[in-house]
Amino acid sequence: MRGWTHYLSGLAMAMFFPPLLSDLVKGVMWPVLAGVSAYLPDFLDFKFKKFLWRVDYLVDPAPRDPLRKLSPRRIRVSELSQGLRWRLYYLEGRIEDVLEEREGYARFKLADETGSVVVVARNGDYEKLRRMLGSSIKELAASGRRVRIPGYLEVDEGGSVYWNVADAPHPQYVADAVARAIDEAYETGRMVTVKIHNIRMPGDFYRRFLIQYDSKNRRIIVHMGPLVSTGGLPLEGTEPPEYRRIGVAETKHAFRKVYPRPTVIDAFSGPEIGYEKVGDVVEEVFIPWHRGFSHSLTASVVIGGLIGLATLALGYANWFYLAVASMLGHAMHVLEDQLGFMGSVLFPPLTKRRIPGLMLGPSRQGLINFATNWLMLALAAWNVNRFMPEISPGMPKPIELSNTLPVTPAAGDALLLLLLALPAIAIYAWGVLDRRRFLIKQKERLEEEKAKEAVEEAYEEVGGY
Amino acid sequence: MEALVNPVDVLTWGLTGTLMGLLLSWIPGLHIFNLLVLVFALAPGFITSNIYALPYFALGAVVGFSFASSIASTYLSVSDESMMLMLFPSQRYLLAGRGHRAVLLYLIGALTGGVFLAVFMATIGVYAMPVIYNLFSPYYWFILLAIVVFMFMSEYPKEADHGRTPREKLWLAWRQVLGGVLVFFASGILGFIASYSGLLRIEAAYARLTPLFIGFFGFPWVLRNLISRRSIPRQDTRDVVETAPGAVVNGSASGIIGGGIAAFFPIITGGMGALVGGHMASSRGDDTFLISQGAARTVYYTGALFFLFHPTMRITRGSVAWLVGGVYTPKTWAEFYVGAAFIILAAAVSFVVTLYLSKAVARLLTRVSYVYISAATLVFLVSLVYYLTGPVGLVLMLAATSVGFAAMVFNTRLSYCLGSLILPVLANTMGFAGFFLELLGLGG
Repeated sequence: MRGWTHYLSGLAMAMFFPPLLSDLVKGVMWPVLAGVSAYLPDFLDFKFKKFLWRVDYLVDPAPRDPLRKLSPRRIRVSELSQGLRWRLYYLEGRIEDVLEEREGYARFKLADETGSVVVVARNGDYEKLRRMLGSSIKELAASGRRVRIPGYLEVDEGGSVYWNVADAPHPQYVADAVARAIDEAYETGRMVTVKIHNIRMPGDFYRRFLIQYDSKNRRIIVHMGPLVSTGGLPLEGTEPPEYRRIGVAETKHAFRKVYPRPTVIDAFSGPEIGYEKVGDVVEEVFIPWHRGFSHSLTASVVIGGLIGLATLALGYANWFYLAVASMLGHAMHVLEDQLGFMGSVLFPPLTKRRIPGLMLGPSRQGLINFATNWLMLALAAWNVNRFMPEISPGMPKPIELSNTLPVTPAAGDALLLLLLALPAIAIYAWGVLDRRRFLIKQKERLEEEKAKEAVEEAYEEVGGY
Repeated sequence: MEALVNPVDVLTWGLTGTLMGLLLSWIPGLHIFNLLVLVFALAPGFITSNIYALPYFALGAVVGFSFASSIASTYLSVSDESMMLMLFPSQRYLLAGRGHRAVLLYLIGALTGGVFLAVFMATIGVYAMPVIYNLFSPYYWFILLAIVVFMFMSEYPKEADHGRTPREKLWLAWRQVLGGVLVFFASGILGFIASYSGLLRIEAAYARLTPLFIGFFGFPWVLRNLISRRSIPRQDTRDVVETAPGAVVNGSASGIIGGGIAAFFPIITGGMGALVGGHMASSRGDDTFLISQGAARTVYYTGALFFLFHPTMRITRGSVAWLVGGVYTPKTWAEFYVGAAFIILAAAVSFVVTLYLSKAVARLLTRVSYVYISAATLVFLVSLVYYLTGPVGLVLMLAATSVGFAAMVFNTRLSYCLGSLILPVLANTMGFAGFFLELLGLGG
C-alpha cells in the first residue's frame, strides 16, 4: 500500500469520534496525529531503521563520482587491483601504443600519471568507443589527446589483467557477492545482510539489473539490463552485449526465495537483502529492517498509548478518543500491509518472523490500493454525514436516505455505508479471484517449464527482449 | 435585463480566450492569472462589453493555458508551482531528445482530464459536488494541514544510501527532510511579509504572490540554466509516444483525482493534489507521471474556474475564478452546460495547437542557444515582476529566489515553497498568526 493510503486510514479512524470531529471544525487540529500514527510504521522504518541496520556486504557495482554523484568514478592505473574486478570505473589518460586495431576489435595501452594498462574493446563496445572518442584509436594515439575510457578490470585466460571497455559493470561481481553471503549465512547461522547499490548514470538514467535465484541448481544468476529512466522506461540500444550480460555464481548450500517477486535493481535506491538460515536452507529476507515491530499490532497499542499520554500532558481534552483513533489508525496500516505479499511480524514478542500476507490482487496491486483509499474516503464521508447534526446543531445530514426510501434512519445510515463502500468491496472480491489465478499459474509454472520461464521473465524484466 | 446565452458569443469570446491562452502561455513564468490581469489592464472596456465575454473568454484562456504551459515546463524549465513535481521527468525526456514526446504524453492527460471534467460536472457532478461541498467544507483546513504533514513525512531520502557510517546515513537522510522544513518556514515568512507588511503598494496587492512564485520556481531554474550553460540535444518531433493503455488510464485517474482535490479544496495546489492523487491511484513511471500532470493541471485550473459556472453550488476557487467572479454570477443552467461543452471544444483545439507549438519550439531550440533563451526569460521575468509590483517586488523576488535555491541545494521538494501560501492560512486558522506577526515585527 502507498503511504497516503495508510495516512488516510488513520484520518478516517479519527472520523469515527464526534468529539474529534467537533475539534476539527473549531480549528483544533490534534486529530491529524491519528494520520501520523497510521503512517508511522513506514516513517520509522524508512527514516531511521534503514540507516541504522547493520550491513555485512556492501555491493557497489559502479561506485559514484563523489562530486557529481554519478557513475562511473575515475580510477588511476596504480589503484587497479583484482579486488576491483568487474566494477565499473573510468580511466583517463593518453593512448600510448596501439597493439591491434581491426574491424570490431582494438587492443591498446593507456597511460595516466601513475602507470599504464592494456585496454581491450570488442564488438559493440568497440563501436561505442569509436563513437564516444570521435576517431580511430590510431588517430587518437598519434594526436596525444587525453581520453576517458569507461570499463572494468578483467583477467584473461592466461591470468593477465586488462581494462575491458564497457558501459556497465560485469554482473559476475554481484552474483559472487550474493552467493558468498548465502554461504556465510548458512555457515555462521546468523542473518547476513547484503546492501546492493544501484547504478546511477548521467541524465538521471539507471542501469537496471536483476538477481535471479535458481534454487534447484544452487545458482545465483544476475542479469545486467539496459539503462532505464526513473519511471522504469528502458532506453533503446543501451543493453549490454551478450558476453557481459549474465553472471552466474554457485553456492555451497541450499537456499530459497520466499518473497515471490523478482529482485530488480534500478532507480531510487538499491535494496538490502538479508539471508537467514531456517532449518537446512537459507531464506531470503527482503529488506530485513522493514515490517518488524513497527508493523505489529503490539506496536499499535504502544503508539496509541504514547499519543494519548503525550496529548494528555499537553492538556488536550479529548486525548482518550485520539489515543484510540491513533491505535486504530496504526492497526489499519498493519492490516492493510497484510493484504499484500510481504506480511509483518504481527504479535511480537509472541511472534518473531514475518507472517506472509494474503496476496490480494497480485497482478494489479495498485487497484487494491485504490480500493482501500476509496473505502477510507467512504468511511470518512459516512461518519461526517451521520454526525453532522451532532457537530453542527440545526444542520441536517447532507445525505439522508430515510427521507427518500421506506427505511428507518439507522437502516438508512447502514445502507448508505454499503452503497459508498460497494466499489471497494467489488475490487476486493476481484482481488480474491486474482490471487487464486496467480497461485494456479505459479503452481503450473513450477511444475512445467520453471527454469526456462524464469530466465525469459528475467530477460523481460531487464528489457533484454 | 438578463442576457441569454448566445452560442455565437460563447464561441467568439471563448475561442478568442483559447487562442490568447495558447499563444501566450508557452512564455515561461506567465501564470494565467497574470495574463488575464494584463489583458484587463490593456483593455478595460472588455469586461463590460457583454456579460458573457469575460467568463467564457477566461474559460477558454484557462483551458489554453492548461495545455500550452507544458511547452515552457518541458523545453524552458520554468513553470508555476503546480508543475514542480513534473519538471524532472520532462527534463529527462528533453535531455534524451524526447521533449516532444513528453509534451504529447502531457497532452493526452490534459485532453482526458478536460473531457472528464466536462462530462463529470455536467452529469454526476451536478448532484455530487454540492453534497461533497456540504460534507467537507467544515474540514477544509484540517485537510490542508493533513496534506502538508504528509508531504513532510513522505519525503524520500535520496542520498542517504551512500553514507559511510549509520550516523552519516542518518544525517544525509535528515538533512534533506530538515531542509524541506527550513524551506517551508522561510517561504512562509516571505508569505507573511508579502501579505501583511504593506511593503507592496496597494494597487499591486492582487499580485503580491507573483514575485514570490517567480522567485521560488522560475528564477532558480533560469539561473541554473545560465550557470550550467546546458545544451539541448536535437529533438525528435515525431508524434510518437511509448506507453501502455494501462499507463494512460492510471495516469489520467491519478491526475483527475489530484487535480480534483486541488480544484475543490482551497490553498491546495496542483502539485500537492498530484502527490495525493499519485498515491491514491498508485501511479508509477515517467509516462504515467506526465499523463497525470496533464490531467491534474487541466482539472485543477479549469475545474476551479468552472465551479463558478455552477448556478447553485456558489463556490469560488482559484485566482482566476475570484477575478471573474467579481463581475459574473451565473444565473441559468444553460450557462453551465454551454460551459461544459465549450471546455471539450477548447481542449480539442488546444491539443492540436499545442502539438504544433511544441514542434516549433523543439526546432527553435536547435537553432537558438538555450543560454540566450534563458537570458531572455530572465529579462522577461524581471520586467514582469517590476511592472506588476515595482522595485519592492524585485527585492521580494530575490529573497524568494534564495529560498528556491535552498530547496535545490537540499535536494528537497520545491513544493515546500508553497509555505508562502499555506503557513499564513494555517496560522490564521489555528490561532498562531499573531505569534508570527509579532515575531516578524509586523504588529499583532
